[in-house]
Amino acid sequence: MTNADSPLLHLEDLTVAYGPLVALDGISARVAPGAVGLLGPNGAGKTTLLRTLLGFVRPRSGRVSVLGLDPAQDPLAVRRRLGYMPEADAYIAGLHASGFVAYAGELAGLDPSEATSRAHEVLDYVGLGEARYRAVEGFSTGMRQRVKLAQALVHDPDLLLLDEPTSGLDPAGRDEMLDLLQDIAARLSVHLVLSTHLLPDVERVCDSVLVVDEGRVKAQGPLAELVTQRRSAYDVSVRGDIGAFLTDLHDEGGEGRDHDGVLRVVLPEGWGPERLFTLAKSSGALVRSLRPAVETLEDVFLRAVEK
Amino acid sequence: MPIHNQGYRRRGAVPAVSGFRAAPIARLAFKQIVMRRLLIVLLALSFAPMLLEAPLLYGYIRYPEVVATVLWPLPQLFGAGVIVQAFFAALVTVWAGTSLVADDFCTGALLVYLARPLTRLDYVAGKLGVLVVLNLVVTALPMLLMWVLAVGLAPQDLRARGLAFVPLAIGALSLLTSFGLALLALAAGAVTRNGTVGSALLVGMLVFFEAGARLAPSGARLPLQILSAARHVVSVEHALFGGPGDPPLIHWSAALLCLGLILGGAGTLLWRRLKAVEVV
Repeated sequence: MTNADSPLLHLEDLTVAYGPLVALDGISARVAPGAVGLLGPNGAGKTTLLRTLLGFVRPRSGRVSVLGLDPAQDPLAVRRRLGYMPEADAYIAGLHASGFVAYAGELAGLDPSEATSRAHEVLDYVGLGEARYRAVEGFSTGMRQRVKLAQALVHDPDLLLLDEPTSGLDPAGRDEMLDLLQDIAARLSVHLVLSTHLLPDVERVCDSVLVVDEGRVKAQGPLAELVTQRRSAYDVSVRGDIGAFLTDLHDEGGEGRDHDGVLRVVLPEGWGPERLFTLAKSSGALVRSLRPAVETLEDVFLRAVEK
Repeated sequence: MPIHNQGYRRRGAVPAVSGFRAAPIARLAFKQIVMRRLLIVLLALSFAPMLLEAPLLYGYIRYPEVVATVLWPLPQLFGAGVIVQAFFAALVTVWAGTSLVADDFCTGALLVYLARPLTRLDYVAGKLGVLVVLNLVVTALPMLLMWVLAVGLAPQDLRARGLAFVPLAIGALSLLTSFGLALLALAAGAVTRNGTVGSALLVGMLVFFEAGARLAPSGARLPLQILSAARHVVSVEHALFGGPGDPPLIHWSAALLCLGLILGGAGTLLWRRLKAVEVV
């Protein structure tokens, strides 16, 4: 376990490259214990970061620490305390769910009898108790996601690395998976790193976020702190030269983007809504309606990756 | 109402990994192999040549002058026997070996292994170890039993007939054959990610290079001989047991070097495919 003062993850000027391709470019971050959302568009470096945390990839430069341990120096010590749920299918051909999860426990160091009993407990926990003797090959997507979670949990890790855990799930399955993750983080006090591009999943499960894009950290911190950083936003309906209006708004330090058919506009610092009318007029546009909006995590995320 | 069991409690501590880390991998690989019923038939069949070799051996011991005029010297019988057994080991490896790694690539299980406190070497050792031991059972065990029979029939001949060194030679040749076949099978499985295709690739390469080494025009024969693992094993067999017939074209030391290069290439390929799973 980590104590409250020591970070869950500590990245110091971390650079990871595959030959000439730089996947993580000198990133630094200090992530507090708890559930952290790792956000970023495809190709941002999320999976590379997860694999660096697992000790699969050695940094070209900089330092990384997970639960106070250096995965580049001692990957096995780190992996003892980690559970990893990969994004893609992961099962062993010919094994039923219980055999697979027990085997995963044995690989992590549990003796065979304890691994078997833990496998039953964990499968019950993730809601697969009834299906424990069925071959994993025959499972639905939702069941496969849950058996992947079970194999990651079986040895009782201190930190779970979850790569797109709700990928491919229907709404009900996604809801159940998020319930599970919330319970794991809150009741069981297992730290989570949730890598996803689904912002509502992060809002529901995580305490903090780390936004990466193009191999760099774009935003980080507690979710609550990011929420308080949200600026005044308005949903605006505009007629006329919308392009010129957006360009002028951007030049003044504001932002605007399409949001469900209206413009979600973030005002420049110190502006009131009345100045928006003036700006629209000077840009050859007309504001037809304007109402206050609450900036979502998606807005915060988009703003971060557009920086 | 949450679907999960809210009575679940944590274990309280992460387990310590002690002992031979590849042991669970080897255990499962063994189970996966013996679950294939045809393999049991193959294993039983691999002992069938003994039914022919045992009367031959009896003839060697009881009527040495008569037999010597029509057959090879006694130690060479063991060398030829190992080569026959190697054929069965190849069948076992093709049947059960390539899928050991290919299935893990195909089902994504490799990440389950590699995200544990295990190294790639542990993974390879677990899979390779089981296959090597199984191949040794097929190649070395029958011939060692034959040696025990020979010594039992004529203990006084142990030194006079050159039988004393035979167990060592059987062990060395069997180990070389078993290890080589197992490594080639795992590499073929890793490259193709499909057990059946991997087996076809392995058989195709062994047969192609061996047939080419024998049948190709003399100008093209040498490169094919260099790539024929089977040729090199026969060269080493000749060196160890003084094999019958024409001496091999490649000296045993060169054969060992070529085998080293072939197996080194296979090992590198396997290693890089495993590494790629961690990175990509």
